[in-house]
Amino acid sequence: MSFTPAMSLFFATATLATLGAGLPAQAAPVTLTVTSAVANLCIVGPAQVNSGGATNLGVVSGNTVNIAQLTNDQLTTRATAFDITFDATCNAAHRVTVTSERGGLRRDQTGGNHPGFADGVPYTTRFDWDSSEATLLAPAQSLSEVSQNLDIGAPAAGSLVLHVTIDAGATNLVTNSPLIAGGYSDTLRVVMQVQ
Amino acid sequence: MIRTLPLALLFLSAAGVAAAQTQDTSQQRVLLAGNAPSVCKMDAPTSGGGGTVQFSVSSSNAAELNFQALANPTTAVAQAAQVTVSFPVICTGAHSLTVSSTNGGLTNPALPATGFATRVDYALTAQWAADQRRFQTVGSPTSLNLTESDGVAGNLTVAIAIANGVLPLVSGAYTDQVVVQFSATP
Repeated sequence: MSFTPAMSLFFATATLATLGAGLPAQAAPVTLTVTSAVANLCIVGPAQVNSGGATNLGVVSGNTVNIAQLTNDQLTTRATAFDITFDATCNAAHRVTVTSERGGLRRDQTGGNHPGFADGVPYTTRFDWDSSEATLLAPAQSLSEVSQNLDIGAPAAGSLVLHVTIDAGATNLVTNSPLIAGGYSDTLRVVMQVQ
Repeated sequence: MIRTLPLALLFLSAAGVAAAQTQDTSQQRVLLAGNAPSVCKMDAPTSGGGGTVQFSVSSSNAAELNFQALANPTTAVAQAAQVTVSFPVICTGAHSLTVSSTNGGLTNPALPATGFATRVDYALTAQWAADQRRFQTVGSPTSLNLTESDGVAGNLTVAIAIANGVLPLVSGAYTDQVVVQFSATP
């Protein structure tokens, strides 16, 4: 076994320390300062649709919630209600924003003139978070998004619950108007952001 | 002291990596979807009759028009009469309408007699949306058809007009059935 240059240096230094006269018995202390930081963080988990207690809830597939029967025997809107839960965490003061991207449940096929018919279904989404709540009204009057904010002044973790409610007969025309046939849809967007 | 410098650099570098992996905004999207089916709904007539024609609704899908003065009381010849019946209808998508006469006129099952008539013909006009169709009975089943490419909500009006006759009518009951049917089309 041969000595490496580094090992040779160590032995030389040890010999000097042992044999040296007048040096302090202890070496001077070395202070290590350890620092770090926790960044702002908001995390919203995937949607979980609660079928228990729901009204007129159809098939739920991934992030798609189908309404079982959009219309009733009078051809107007059937009452619907269900909850969507998200596990969420924000480690600082934050804002929760719930947005209806189409401003309500709107007919997918646009255009056409249908006197006496509605082509949109308004609904409300009340959302509960950290013992506070706010309500988004999506009136289905225009194809533009509507949003509602809820500001929370401290970190919070738990379940964000959206209560989606469609009233019987609710339409973007006169109440109880018939709905023109077709597919209707909207996208609910939930955003949590550190403030 | 020589060894503290590389240690301090190591910790600062670790903090920088942690900041890049976190996020201060997070979002989820949920699609809500529903379907309004293409269907037709027709209620019982809400108005009709007038004059010598008596109108009555017997059920949600049946009504009766009774021409109380079908024949002139002194000549027994059919006399002109007209009645309009309105049906509230909603079809939420493309659809068709058929109005048919089962007998092809008001008919009396009695045997025909020379010089007398056992049938009273009429003209039927249906008005729906912006379209109008008409048929004239001639003694055999007949019908009219109408199609609409989109939803319509309103009143279908069916007008039945009897013209003055020529021959006197054999006594007895004269009947016909007019069937109004809306169907949603694919």
